[in-house]
Amino acid sequence: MKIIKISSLSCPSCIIMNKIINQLQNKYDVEIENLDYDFDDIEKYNVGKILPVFIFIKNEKEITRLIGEHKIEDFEKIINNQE
Amino acid sequence: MKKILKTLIILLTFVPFIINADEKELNIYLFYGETCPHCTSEKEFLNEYLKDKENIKLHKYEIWNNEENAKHLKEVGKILGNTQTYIPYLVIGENAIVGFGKGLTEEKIINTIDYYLEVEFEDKVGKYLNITQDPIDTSKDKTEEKEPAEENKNNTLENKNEFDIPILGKINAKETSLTLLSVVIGLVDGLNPCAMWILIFLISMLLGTKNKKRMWILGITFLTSSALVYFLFMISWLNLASLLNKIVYIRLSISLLAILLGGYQIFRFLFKVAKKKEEGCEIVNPKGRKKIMLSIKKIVTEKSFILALLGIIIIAVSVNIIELLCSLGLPVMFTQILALNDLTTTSKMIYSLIYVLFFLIDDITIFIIAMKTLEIKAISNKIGKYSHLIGGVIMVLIGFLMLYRPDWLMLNF
Repeated sequence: MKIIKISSLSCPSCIIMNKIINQLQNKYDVEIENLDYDFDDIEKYNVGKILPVFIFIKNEKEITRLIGEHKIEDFEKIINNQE
Repeated sequence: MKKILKTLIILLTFVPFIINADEKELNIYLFYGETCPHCTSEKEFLNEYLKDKENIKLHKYEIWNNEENAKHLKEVGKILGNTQTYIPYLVIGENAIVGFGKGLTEEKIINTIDYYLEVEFEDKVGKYLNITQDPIDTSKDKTEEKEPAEENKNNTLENKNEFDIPILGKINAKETSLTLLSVVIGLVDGLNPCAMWILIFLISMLLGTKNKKRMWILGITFLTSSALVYFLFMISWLNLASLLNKIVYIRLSISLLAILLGGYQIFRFLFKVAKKKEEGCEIVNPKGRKKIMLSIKKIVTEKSFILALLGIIIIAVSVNIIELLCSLGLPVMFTQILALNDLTTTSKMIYSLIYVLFFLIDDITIFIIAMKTLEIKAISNKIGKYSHLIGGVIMVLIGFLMLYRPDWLMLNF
């Protein structure tokens, strides 16, 4: 599974979520693609006004997305449901 | 919109009641000695100042040639809780202004008169002197002997504000309350996430340069410049507020605006922010922020240190001026409180500095941790969002107090 993480260097919530993403990577076989809201081309992902955005991709299709600050359990739930 | 208009109409209904406070009658009492030069100066000043103020009546009592008046002065001292009864001794409301210095005491007299024209109080001295009704029994000594202070030793307001607290000793309640207010409102204002993103971005960029000395200097310059902008804004507003507060309609407008803005913040929190499922960073004005980010990026990577330093000052000043609009309410309310209190310029500056220090304390902490650990720690937006609610409550509270109980904001205990 791949998670596209759209965040910003200026966003405190994104910094807080970095720790959770690291934990997730250590625990699960997930690929994380980091995109910068301000400097990368993210138009196609239709990102709203809240950051960070985590888009879950499986078989090159978006399954779901998580927006804003979340607990690791929220990510685990999605990953476990797909396995 | 209809609800807002209704609230405005209700509030404005009470406005004439408040304005009428200026028409209230006030008796003031001057105890003097016939040949005392300071008394003569004070009499001259009062005669001139009260010339066109028919609602303020000056009652004079000569004490050197009139034993009864001298006794009256001693009793009045007891009533006001002040055993130091030197002359000239001017009683305004529940306060006594002892002594008179040309160019020094006039403002205090005017401010005290203005204050007692606005607040309700029991004219105990007037009752005792049979000027107003219900003479009171002064046989009961309700006062405690207090040690005279070095300066203004006969000022009852200052004496009344001092409390003996075990271990801590004598505490001036007014000074302590103002310091606490500076700390609390500064902290709440600082937690407002409006301007935090700029600092976080700057730190991210600085960490990328890997030059520790440069990181520290540029970061400290940014924080100091930000503090300076905020401090200058507060001092400018404070000076303006001291002038504007004398105009009743302007003071009322500021109070109403505070209630409306604070109310809007509470409403927004309860019906929008609290109900929001997604808690994260809200992106406002993406084009504007990108421009700021590109400027910061350019400054941080600038080879010339002097140019980088100048650039960081310019960016801190301009960004903080823009972001000031985001958190205008709380510093304005805080300066209103300072303006209402009869403070010296130095005191006003000290309280403003305390406010700014606590406003920036979270930024300073995040910066120091980042510089020491080379890792950014951030405050969750979950916490930051509550600053809007607390800020709103503070604004509504101060707004109402400014309208109905300005004496409470003068922090005289």
